[in-house]
Amino acid sequence: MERKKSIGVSLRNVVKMFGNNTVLNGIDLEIAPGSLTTLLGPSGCGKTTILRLIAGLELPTSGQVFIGDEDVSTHSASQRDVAMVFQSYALFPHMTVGENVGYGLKVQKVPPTERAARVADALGSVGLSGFESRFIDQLSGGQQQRVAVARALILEPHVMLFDEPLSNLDTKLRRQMRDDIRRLQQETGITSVYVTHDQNEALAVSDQVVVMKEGGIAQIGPPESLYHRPNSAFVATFMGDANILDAELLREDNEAFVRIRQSRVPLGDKAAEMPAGPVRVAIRPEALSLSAPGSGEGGFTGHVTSRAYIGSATEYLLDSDGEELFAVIPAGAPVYAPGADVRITIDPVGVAVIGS
Amino acid sequence: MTISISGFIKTGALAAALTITAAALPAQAKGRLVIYCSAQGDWCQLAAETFGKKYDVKVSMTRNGSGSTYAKILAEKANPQGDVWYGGTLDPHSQAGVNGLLEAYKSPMLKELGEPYRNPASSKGNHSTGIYVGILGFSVNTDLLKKAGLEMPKCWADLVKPEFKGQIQVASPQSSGTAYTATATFVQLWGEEKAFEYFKKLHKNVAQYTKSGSAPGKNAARGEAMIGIGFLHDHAKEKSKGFPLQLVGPCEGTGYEIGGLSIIKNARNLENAKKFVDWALTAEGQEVAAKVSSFQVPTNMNAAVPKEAIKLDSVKLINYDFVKYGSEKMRKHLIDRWIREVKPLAR
Amino acid sequence: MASIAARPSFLRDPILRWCVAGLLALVLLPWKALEYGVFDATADEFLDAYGWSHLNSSLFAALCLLLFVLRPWRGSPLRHKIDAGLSVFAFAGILALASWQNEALGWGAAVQFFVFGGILALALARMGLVQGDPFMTGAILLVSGLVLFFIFWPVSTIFSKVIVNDQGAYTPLMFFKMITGFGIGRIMWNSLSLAIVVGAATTFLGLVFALFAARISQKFQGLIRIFSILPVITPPFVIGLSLILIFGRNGSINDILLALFGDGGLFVGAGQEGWFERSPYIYGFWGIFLAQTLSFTPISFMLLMGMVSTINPAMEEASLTMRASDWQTFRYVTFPLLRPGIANSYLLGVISSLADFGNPLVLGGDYDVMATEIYFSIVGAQLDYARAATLGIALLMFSLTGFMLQRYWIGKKSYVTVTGKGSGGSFQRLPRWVERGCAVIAIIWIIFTAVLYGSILLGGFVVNWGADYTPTLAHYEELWARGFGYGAWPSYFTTLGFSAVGAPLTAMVGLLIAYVTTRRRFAGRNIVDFGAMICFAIPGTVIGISYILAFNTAPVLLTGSAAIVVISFIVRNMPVGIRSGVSGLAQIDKSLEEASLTQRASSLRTIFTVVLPLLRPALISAVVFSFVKSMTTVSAIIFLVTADTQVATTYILGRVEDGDYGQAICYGSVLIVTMLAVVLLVDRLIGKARTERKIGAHA
Repeated sequence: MERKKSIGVSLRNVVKMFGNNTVLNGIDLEIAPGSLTTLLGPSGCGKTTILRLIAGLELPTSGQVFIGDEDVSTHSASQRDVAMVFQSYALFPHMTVGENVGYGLKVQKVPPTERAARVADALGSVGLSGFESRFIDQLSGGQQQRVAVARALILEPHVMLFDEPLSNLDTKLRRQMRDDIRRLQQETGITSVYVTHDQNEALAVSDQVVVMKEGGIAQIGPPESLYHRPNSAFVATFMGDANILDAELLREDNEAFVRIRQSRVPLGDKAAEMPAGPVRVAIRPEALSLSAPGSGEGGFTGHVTSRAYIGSATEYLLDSDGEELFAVIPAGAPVYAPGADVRITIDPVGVAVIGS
Repeated sequence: MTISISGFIKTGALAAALTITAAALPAQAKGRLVIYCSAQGDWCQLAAETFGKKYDVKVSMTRNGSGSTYAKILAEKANPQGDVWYGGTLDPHSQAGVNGLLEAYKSPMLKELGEPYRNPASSKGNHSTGIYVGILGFSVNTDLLKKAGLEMPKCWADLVKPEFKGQIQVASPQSSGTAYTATATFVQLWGEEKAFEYFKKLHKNVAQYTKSGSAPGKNAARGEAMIGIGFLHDHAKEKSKGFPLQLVGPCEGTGYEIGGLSIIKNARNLENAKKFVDWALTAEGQEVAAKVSSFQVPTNMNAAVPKEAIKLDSVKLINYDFVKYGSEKMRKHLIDRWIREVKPLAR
Repeated sequence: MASIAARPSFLRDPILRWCVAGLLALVLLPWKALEYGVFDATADEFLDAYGWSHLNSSLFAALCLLLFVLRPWRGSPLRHKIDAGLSVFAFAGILALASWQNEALGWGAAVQFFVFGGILALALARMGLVQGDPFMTGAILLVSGLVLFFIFWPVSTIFSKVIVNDQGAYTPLMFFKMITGFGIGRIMWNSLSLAIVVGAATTFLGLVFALFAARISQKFQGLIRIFSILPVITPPFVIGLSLILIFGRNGSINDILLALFGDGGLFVGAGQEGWFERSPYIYGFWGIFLAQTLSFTPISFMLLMGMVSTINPAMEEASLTMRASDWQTFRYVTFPLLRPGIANSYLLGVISSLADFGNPLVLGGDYDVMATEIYFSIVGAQLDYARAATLGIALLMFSLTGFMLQRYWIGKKSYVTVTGKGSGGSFQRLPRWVERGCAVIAIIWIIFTAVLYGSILLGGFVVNWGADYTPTLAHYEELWARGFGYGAWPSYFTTLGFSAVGAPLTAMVGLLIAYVTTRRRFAGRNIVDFGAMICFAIPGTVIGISYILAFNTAPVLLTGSAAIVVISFIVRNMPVGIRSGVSGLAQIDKSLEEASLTQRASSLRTIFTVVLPLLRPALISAVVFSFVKSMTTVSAIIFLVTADTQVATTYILGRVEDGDYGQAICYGSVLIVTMLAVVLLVDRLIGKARTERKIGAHA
C-alpha cells in the first residue's frame, strides 16, 4: 500500500473560550510533517483542548487551524482527515473488535472483503491477529489499547491524535505500549500529536515537545533541549526535578560562565544572547556530585540534611549556607550520613540559565 | 449528507403516495355537512346517519355540551369548522344569535311547528328554531322514599321540607344550563328575592351539586340520591330502563327548555345545512329522538309524541321569557348571585 | 475523500438538495390544511389545497426556494450569512403572509419549515457554530423550535388571555381582578390544602412501604413490581369509580353497615329503627384524598425505595458500635439521611395532587379544585376563558414553584452518593415497633388495593353495582360486541393508533432534548432546559387550555385534527422521554461519540450506529411507557378531541358523565389488561436483550 504524503498541522493565533473562561490564549504552533509532537503540561493547561481543536471536536473561538495547506477551522470532526486514540479508548461496547477497527472503513463504504483484509492487517500491526470476533469486554486493558490504536491507524489519516493513551495502564505495560506507538508512528510516518502529563513519556516518544502552561505555550523544542535547556523555572521543574538558584552570568573571552556559590560552570552556547549579570539557574539533581570536603578542586561545601535510599540511586537533601539543594547520586558512589559535611560539584550539562 | 438524501427520498415517496390517494378518491357529488350536536350522543349519531344516507351527504358529527359547543363556535368565528348546530338548550343558541355567530334561515317547515317554537331565540331574527321541548321537574326514587316512609313530594315547596335533608341532588348553575333553567324558573315564579330565599332553604337539603344537568336524575335512579331535579325527559329515559323513578311536574308550575337548531354563520356547506334543518324539522326528523330513548316533546305538530314523554298538557308551564332570561347579562347576574349567596352557605 | 468528488456536481451542495425537496413538496403536497383531514378529503378539496392552484403564501416560499437554487451570492464571503438570513426571512415570511391571509397551513407548508430550517442549520454550521456540525445544528434548531412552538407559545397564550379581554381591549390588571374575585380563593385553597394533606399521606405510606420492602420482608419484592406498574397502567377515573363502588352511597361498605346497623339490621333487631343511614360521604375532600393517596403512593414508594436501598449500611453500623440503640440509630442516622428523599417525595405528591384531574372529577362533589374548575370554566354554562386562564396560570405557578423547589433546593441536598463500590455489611434491623407498624399498614394496603382492583374487574360483570348484582355480560356486549364501528371499538383503535404514533416520537424528541441539553453547549440551551422543565411541571388541564387557545386560528389551525391530540400526547409524556434519555446518556461515555466522529462518521450516523444501539433499553422503555401513558392521558386532551378523534379516556369520561358506571368500569378493565399485556411483553423482550449482552459505558 502506498503511503500518503505526510503533511503538517499548524495553529495560528488560536483562541478558545468556554463562556467567559479563556482556555487557550493565542496559540501559534507548527507541527512538522511526519513528526510526533507531544503536548505536555499540568491538568487544565489547555493541551487536550488543542488536541480537540485539531480533531475538530471543538472549533476555535478565533484564529485558524491548518491541516497541510487547508484551513479546517470550521470543519467538523467528520470532515477532517484525522484519527484519535482516546484516554478511555472509547471502544464501542456493542461491537466486536473487528467491527470497532473496521468502523471507519464501513463509514467510508469500503467493500466488506477489502475491509476484512485491512482490519486483519491493522490488528496484525498491533499484535492482535485473530481477535476480530472478540467483544471488547473480553480484552485486557493493554489489548483494548491496541485495538484503539489499530482503529485509528486503519484510516491512514494525515494526522493521528493521542489523548493520554497510556494513563490507564500499569507501569510495565505503559513502557511497552509507548515504544510500540513510537515504532508504528515512525514506520507509517503519520504526523502525530500526543497529549500527556507524564514528562518521561513525552521525552521518550517525541520528536518535539510542547510544554504548556495556563493556556499558553511555555516552550517548544526537541526532548533533549527541553530537559537540558529549559527557558523557565516552570519548564525546568515540570521536565523533572531541578534546583533553582541565584547565580551570576559572566562573559570572558567569548565564553560564558555562571558563578554558582564558589563554582564556575561553563555554559557553552546555552546563554548566547544573555547579557552578563545576575541570573537564575536550574540545576538537575543528577548533575550534582558529592565528595569528601577538601578532596578536590572547585565546588562548594554543604552538609547532608537527610537521605533516602531508592535502589538505583540515593537521594540527598543538602544544605549549603541556608540554601536547600536536592541531589540524586547513582548507586555505587560513596554514601554520606545525615549531618556529614560534603563538597558539592556541578556537571555543566545539567545546568541551565532560566532568566535574569 | 445522508440527511438530505434520505429526507429527499422520504419526502418524495410520501408526496407520491398522497398524490395517488388523491387521484384515487371517488368524486363525492353531494358534498359534506359538519354537525355540531348538543343532544344525546346516540341521538346525534342516528340523526347524522339517517340524514347522510337519505341525502347522500358525507356527514361528520361532533358531540359536545351546548356550553362547549358555543365556546367552539365562538373560538372558530374567523374560520368556521361546523355547519349546523343541532340540539342543546336554547340559551346558548340565543347567545350565539345575538353575537352574530349564526346565519338567519326561515325553513319552509316552520309552518308545521307550534307557534312558540318557530322563532324563539332572543335575537328574533330567525337564527334558531325549536326542535323539541323539555320540561323541568324532579324525580323521586320510590324505593328510597318508601324505605324512609316519607310522603311523595308534589311541589317545589315540598322539597325544602326538613325531612328531605341530604336527599336532593341538583346541578350547579355554575356549570349546568339545566340548573340555570331551574334558577330562571324560580325567579319567574316568585320574583328574584323570593327565589333566592327558596334556593337558600333548598341548599340545606341538597346532598350534592352535580356538574352535569342530567346527573341528578341518574343518581336518583341508581339510589345515590332520593330526589333529582332536572329535565324530566332525562328522567324518563332512566325510568324506561326500569329504575324505580316517579316523575313529578311541580304543582306551582315549571319552566321548560327549547332545543335549538341553528345554522352557523359563514358555514362552508350552507346548502346542506339548510337541507339538514328542513329535514330535522320534519316529523320524521323529530321522531329520531324517541328511537334512542330521548323523550323530549317534539315541536312538529305532526310528529308522534313518545308515550314515555310527559304530556305538555299534564303539567302547568309558566310563560318562560327566553329573551329576558336568555340574555348574557341576566344569566351572569343570577349565576353570580347564586355563587355569592347560596353556594358558600353551610349545610 | 474520493467519494465526494465522484458525486454529480449539481447535487454537491446540500442546500440545493434541500431546495429540490422543498420544491417537490410544494408541487406534490397540499399547501393549505385540508379541512377534513388528508385521508378524508375529496379530489376537489385536494386540488384546491395545492399551493399552485391559488396565489398565496406558497408563491413566496417558491420564490425563496428559487433564490436559493440560483444563489447569486455564492461567491461572496458573506454567503453563509446571506443563506442564514434568507432562510429566517422565508420562515417568518410564510407565517406572516399566511396569518395575514388567514390561511391554515398544511403539510406542504410544514415541509417548507423543515427545508428552511435545514438550510439555516447548514448555513450556521458553515459559519462554525456547534463544531461546524450541520446535523447537530439542525437538531438544536429543531428542539428549540419545538420547545418554543409547542410549549412556550401555547403557555404564553394563556397569559395573553388575562391581559387582553374578549373584546380585544388591553386589561393588564385582569389577572389580579380574577384571582381576587369571588370564589377563586376558595378553589385555590381547596387545591392547596388537599395537595398538602395528600403529599403528607403519600410520603408517609411510601416511606412505610419502602422500609418494609427494603428492610423487613423480602417477600415484598414481587409487590414492588406491581407497585411500579399499577399507577402506570391504571386509567384515570378508575380508582375513583372503584371507590364509589366500595364507598359510594350504594357501595359495598354502606350495604354492609346498613345490613349490620341500619333499620332492622343484624345488630339492631328486626323491625327496629337503626342508627345508620346511607351517606354519600365519599364525595368531597376525603374521597379525593383517598383516591389520590391510592394513586400516588406507589410513585412516592418508588422514589423512597431508591433512597432507602442506597443508604450505606456502614453508617448504621457505625452508629450501633457507638452504643446507639435501634431507635436512636433510626432517629438520628437513618431518618436524617432519608430526609431529602422525603422532602422530594412530598413535593412530588403535592404537584401530582394539584395536577390531578380524573379523581376530583369523579369524586369531587362540591369540592372544587383548580384542575377541574379550569375544565368547567370552559365546558360549563359559564364559558369563561379568562377564568380558565387565570386558574391555569395560578395552577402552573403552584406546580412550577413546587418543581423548582424540588429541583434546585432539594436536588442539591441529597446525601446519597452512589460510589459504585460494594459496601460491605448488611442492613441492621429496624426498631421492633417500626417493623410491626410497617407490616400492618402494608398488609392493610395490599388487601385494600386488591379489593379495589377486584371490584373494577367484577363491577363490569353485574347489572348495576349497588342496586342489582345479577351477573351479566351486557356491558361488555354493549361496548365490544356490536361490531368494530360501534361501542368502544372506534375509540379503542384511535387510542392505540395515536399512542403508537406518539410514543416513538416522544422517545425520539425526548432523547434529542436530553442529548442537546446534556451534551451540547449552545446559546439558548437555558431556554430549552426551562421548556423541558415546564414539560415536567405543567398540569394536563393547563396544556389542554393553552393548546385550544393557541392552535385555534390560522396559520396554525390544529384544533379538531388528530395531529393536535398526538402532539399533546407527546408534550404530556415528554418527561418520560427526557428522563430516560438523560439517564441513558449518563451511561454512555462522550468519547465513544467522539471516536465515531473522528472516524469520519457524521453525527447523524454516530447517533444511529453508536448512541442508539447503546441506548436501546432506555429507548424501548421510553417508548413503552409513553405508549401506556398516552393511553391513560385525559386532562391534556379533553378539550382537543372531537367525535372523530375520541380516545378511550374521553369515551370513559362520557360514560361516567352519563352515569353508565358499568360500561366505564368495563372499558377501564379492558384498558388495564391491554396495558398490562404491553408492559409485560416488552419487559420480557428487554429482559432477554439484557441477558444476551451486558452493555456498559466503558468496556
